[in-house]
Amino acid sequence: MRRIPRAACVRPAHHLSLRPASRSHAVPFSSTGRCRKDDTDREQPAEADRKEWPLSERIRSRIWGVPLGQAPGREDPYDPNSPMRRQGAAEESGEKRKWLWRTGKKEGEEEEVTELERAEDVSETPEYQEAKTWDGLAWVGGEAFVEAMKPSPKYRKYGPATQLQETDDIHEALHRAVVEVLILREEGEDLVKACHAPITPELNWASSVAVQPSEDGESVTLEYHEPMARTYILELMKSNNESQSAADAEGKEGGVEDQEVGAEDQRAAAEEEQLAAENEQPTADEEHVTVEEEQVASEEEQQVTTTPGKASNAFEGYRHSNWMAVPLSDMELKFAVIKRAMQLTGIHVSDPAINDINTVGNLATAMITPPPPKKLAQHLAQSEELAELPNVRVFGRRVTPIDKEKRIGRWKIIEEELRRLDLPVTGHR
Amino acid sequence: MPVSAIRTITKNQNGVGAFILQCKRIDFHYCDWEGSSKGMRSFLRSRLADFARANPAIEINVSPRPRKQPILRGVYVNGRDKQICVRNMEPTQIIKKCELLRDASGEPLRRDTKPVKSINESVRGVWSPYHGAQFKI
Repeated sequence: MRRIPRAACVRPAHHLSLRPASRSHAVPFSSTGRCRKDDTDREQPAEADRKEWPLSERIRSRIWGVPLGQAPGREDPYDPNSPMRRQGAAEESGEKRKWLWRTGKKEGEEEEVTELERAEDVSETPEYQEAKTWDGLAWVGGEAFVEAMKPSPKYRKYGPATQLQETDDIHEALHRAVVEVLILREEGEDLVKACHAPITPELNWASSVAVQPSEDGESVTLEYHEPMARTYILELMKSNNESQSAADAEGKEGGVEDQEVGAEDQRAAAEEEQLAAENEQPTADEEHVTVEEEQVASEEEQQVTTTPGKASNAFEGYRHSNWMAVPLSDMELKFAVIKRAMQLTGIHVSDPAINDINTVGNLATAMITPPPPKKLAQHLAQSEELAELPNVRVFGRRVTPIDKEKRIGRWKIIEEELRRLDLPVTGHR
Repeated sequence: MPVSAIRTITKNQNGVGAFILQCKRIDFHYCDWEGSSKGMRSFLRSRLADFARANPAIEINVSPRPRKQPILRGVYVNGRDKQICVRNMEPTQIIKKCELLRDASGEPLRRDTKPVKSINESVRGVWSPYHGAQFKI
C-alpha cells in the first residue's frame, strides 16, 4: 500500500532552499517546527564559542545537523557539569549561559526550574553530604551483603518444610484432605477452613474414615471406623479457626508485623503441643483407640491435642475403597482439596495441571509424577535405551581437562607436583 | 601310509587382514540453553541411540558445553581428530555429519591425483643408470 505522508511532517521543498548552505546550520532532516523556530529566533554561536561546549554536545549537534544545544534527546547524564545533574555546578563553572541557551530561558528566569529538575538535583537536599572516602558507604558483595540479602525468616513456606516423597505418604495426605473437605461440606462450612487445621501427620484422624463415591459419582459417602473421628476433625479445624480469628483480630490492632508474630507464637505453641502429644501417645498394645483430652495452659484458646492411636491393625482409609474416583467437578471442592493437599504434601501443582484435574486420582497422579527434567543430561540419564548401550557415556557437566587427567590417573601426580612447587592448584574442575 | 606334512596354502586376502574402523570415538557437545543447540538436543534425544547401536565399535561421549556452539568431535586411531560445528542444524543434517566422521580415516584432506597409492616398494626396483641396457648415441 502506498504510504501517504502526514501533513504535519511534510515540509515544502522551498523551505530547505531558504536556509543558508552553512555546515553548522545544515538541517538535513530536522523538520520539527520547534527547531525551525529556535533557529530563527536565536543567534548562532561563533566558532570560538562553539569550542566551549563539551565534545559530546558538539558531536550530537553534528549528528542531528542542528545548532548547538538543540539536539533532541537527553543530554549526557554522566557529565558532572550537566544541568540535569547539578544546576549549581553549571553556574559555578561558567556554564550558566550555556544552560540558559539550552533551556531557552532568559536571564533571571533560571529560578523557574521545574519540580522534576529540582528533584533530580541531589545537592539541594539538606541531608546530602558528598562522600570523600569510601568508609561508611554501602558495599555490594561481602559477608554483610550476603547476610542482608537473605530472605526474611519471618516468612515461612506454605506447608511442610520438606516435600513428601513416598507414594503412600502422598496418598495418605491426599485422603486426609478429601475427608476433611467433605466433612466441612456436610457441615455446610466454608471448605477452605480445612487449611486452618494442623498439618502434622500425628493428628490425622481422617485415616479412620473410608470415602466411598457412588457409581455415578454424584454423591460421596463417608464411613467412620472410629466413631469420634468426625468430632475430633471438626474440633481441630474449629479450634484452629478460633485461634486464627483471634490472632487476626489482634493483628488488625497491632498491624501486619504483630499478625505475623502472633501466627508464629501460635505455630510454636502448636509444635510444643504436638511434642507433648507424641510423648503421651497410647501404646500399640491397646486394641481400642484411646482418646486423651488435654487442656492447654493458655486461658483464651484451647487446642485439641487428641491423637489417633496407631495400632498395627488400625484401619487406613487411603488403602481401602476407590476413594480416588471422587470427582472434583465442583470448583469449590476442587479448590479446597487441592489447596489442602498442597499444604499437607508441600508439592506444588501448576495451574495448567490443575486445569486437567477432574478426579482425586488425577490429583494424585499430578503430585506423584516427578516434574520433567530440566537438563538434557538428566533426560538422557533416565533413558533406558541409552543405558543398555555399552558404548555410550553421558556426562552431567562439562568434561574439563582435570576430568581427563583424573580418568587416566595422572591428576594426582600433577597435583602433588604443583603443591611441591608451591604453585596454585587451579584449573577447570 | 606315509605321514605327509600339512600343505601350506597362501591365503588370498588381497592384502587385507581385517577391517578396523579408523574412528574410535565421537564426542557430542551441546548447550542446554542456546538456540543453536536445538537440533543437537533433539538429535541426542531421538537419534543417538540408533546411531550408537549401529556403530558399536565407536565410543560415544555426550557432555554439555555451556554457552558454546554444539560440535561433533571424532577421534581416530592415528591420533588425529576432526571437529564439526553443527550449530543450527537439523537432526537429519547432524546424522550426515556423524556418518562423515565415522567413515573418515582421520587423515587431513588431500587432493588425490594418482589413482593407486601404495606404501610397498616397487616390484621393478629403483632405476639405475649403471644397469640394464647401455644406450649409445
